[in-house]
Amino acid sequence: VDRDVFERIVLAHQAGIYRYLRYLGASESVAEDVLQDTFIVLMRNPTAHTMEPNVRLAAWLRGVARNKFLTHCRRQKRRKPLEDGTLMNKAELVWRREFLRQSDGFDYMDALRRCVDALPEKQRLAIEMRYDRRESRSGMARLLGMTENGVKSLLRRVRAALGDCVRRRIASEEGAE
Amino acid sequence: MMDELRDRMLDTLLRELVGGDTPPDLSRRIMAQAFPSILRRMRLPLAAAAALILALAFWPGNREAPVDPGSILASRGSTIVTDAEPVQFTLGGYCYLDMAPHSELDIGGRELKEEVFLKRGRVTCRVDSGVGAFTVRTAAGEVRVKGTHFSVVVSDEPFEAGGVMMFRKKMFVKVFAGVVLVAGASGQFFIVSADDKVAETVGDEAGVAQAILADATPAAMKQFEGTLTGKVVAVSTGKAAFEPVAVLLKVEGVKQTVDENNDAFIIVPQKLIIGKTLALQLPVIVLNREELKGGADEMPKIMERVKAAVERQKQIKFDAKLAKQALANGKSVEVIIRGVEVEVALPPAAADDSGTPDADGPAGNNGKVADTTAKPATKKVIRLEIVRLTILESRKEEGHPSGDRQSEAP
Repeated sequence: VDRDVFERIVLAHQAGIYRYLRYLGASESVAEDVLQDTFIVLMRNPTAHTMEPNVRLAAWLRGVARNKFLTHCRRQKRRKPLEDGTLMNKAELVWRREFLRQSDGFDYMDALRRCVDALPEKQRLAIEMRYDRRESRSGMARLLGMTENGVKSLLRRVRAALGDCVRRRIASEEGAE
Repeated sequence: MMDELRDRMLDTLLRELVGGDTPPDLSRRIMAQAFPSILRRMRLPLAAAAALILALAFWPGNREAPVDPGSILASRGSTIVTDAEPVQFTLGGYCYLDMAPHSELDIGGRELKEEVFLKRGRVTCRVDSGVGAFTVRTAAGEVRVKGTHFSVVVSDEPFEAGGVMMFRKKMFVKVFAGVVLVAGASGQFFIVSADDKVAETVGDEAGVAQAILADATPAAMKQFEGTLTGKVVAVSTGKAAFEPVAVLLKVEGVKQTVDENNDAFIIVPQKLIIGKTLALQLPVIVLNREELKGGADEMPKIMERVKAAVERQKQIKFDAKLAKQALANGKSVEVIIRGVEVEVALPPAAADDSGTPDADGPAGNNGKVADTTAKPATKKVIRLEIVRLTILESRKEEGHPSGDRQSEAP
């Protein structure tokens, strides 16, 4: 395997696979280990790294990463929310259709960034507290004068609104093109 | 279910976009595993040969026989004993070990997580950064690094208990370059190399406390000046809602320099792990000459003050606006901390007290009416101040001073 080709593949795909593993529920350290194992599998499959286009290779790497993560979960005997193989396949579907959309997800992230900036004050504050300042739900409830369940619902609603906003933005941009 | 998955997807992306949970660059680690050096590629056959040699060398009956001096091949599961000559060997292609004469260690660990257990003697280690982890364990604790140059000595220290002479293991660590994390029975702490000074400490069951005692030797009397570099990863809020007043730094570098001074000003960065984030704690104590002269006899008192300092000083405090800015941009910051001598007025009740200054500075006057006609009594104390917090751009040398704020004073 050509070292330069392999390194280019690692640099191009490592962030996407790491992000995907975190989405599946892997902790930071598990995601790092599984990511490393995934590329070693690629290394041992000389035909895989010649795959074109990149989208196909990315899908192949996600498949390997998913199986490696499933194996890890089973070995740890810890139930993960998505450890069931069927659920993971559904998760892959959502990831591919909603986030990647035949790309590397860059346009989705870009649209999401703009949607967060455009959130109404209270919703933006909730997002900032949760993700930026890493407040716990109970901490947020105290600061916002809500119940913990109220905070949970609020965050879900804001995320749903962000999802809609991103879809609209991407659709309008595609329409403009 | 699909809605739940969409929600989960957005949660993941927001953690990255807003919370800075960005994917790490593991390319060096992956490349090191995928394309090992020639030596590493040859490791299996070499390890088999080495195992055979070592098996013969340590066959029952002559297990204690020393290996030949010079460079040797070493493999996991083997024990290495040196006689009158030192021995050098490499583990995993990135850990270079130099065993002193009359030392003994076991080799363990696994790929990219190399590990040795030092039973006696000294081992000096140099570890390439960015490849893998390396740990030296001893009966008294362990030293974990990812790229640095240090030595570990384990020795038996005699002590008397109930009229019986006993021995306990003691671990000495010297750091020549970089930072190491030492874990003892009662805590973890960093040892930092400081310019051409060799940081030295002692760690056994006393852990953190002994590190502070070692720093507090008369030779180490100092006025502290230190620099931390790292990323602001979280902000905690103050009394005013949503106003950030304290930050947690992801520490990427620590540098500490010392000068001779009458009082010892001691700052011990400790770590508190939240996920993979290092949250920094900076317990600070001030010791005067009398305490230092007292040496080991003062240990219990010093210990008490260290414990109190750890309780009080959970985090360093930064300028709120800058902290928020650094956090929002995911930029690295550099913090210059200095011990500064300041004159403080003493309350009348304490004016005659020439004893040790309290780590918190003077207390209030406890409701007593001060004599306003007399010249107020003052005392010089050293306070810890953040003299500069700089938000770094892409590289450290490109940083620009952005402001300052006094930290929680010791």
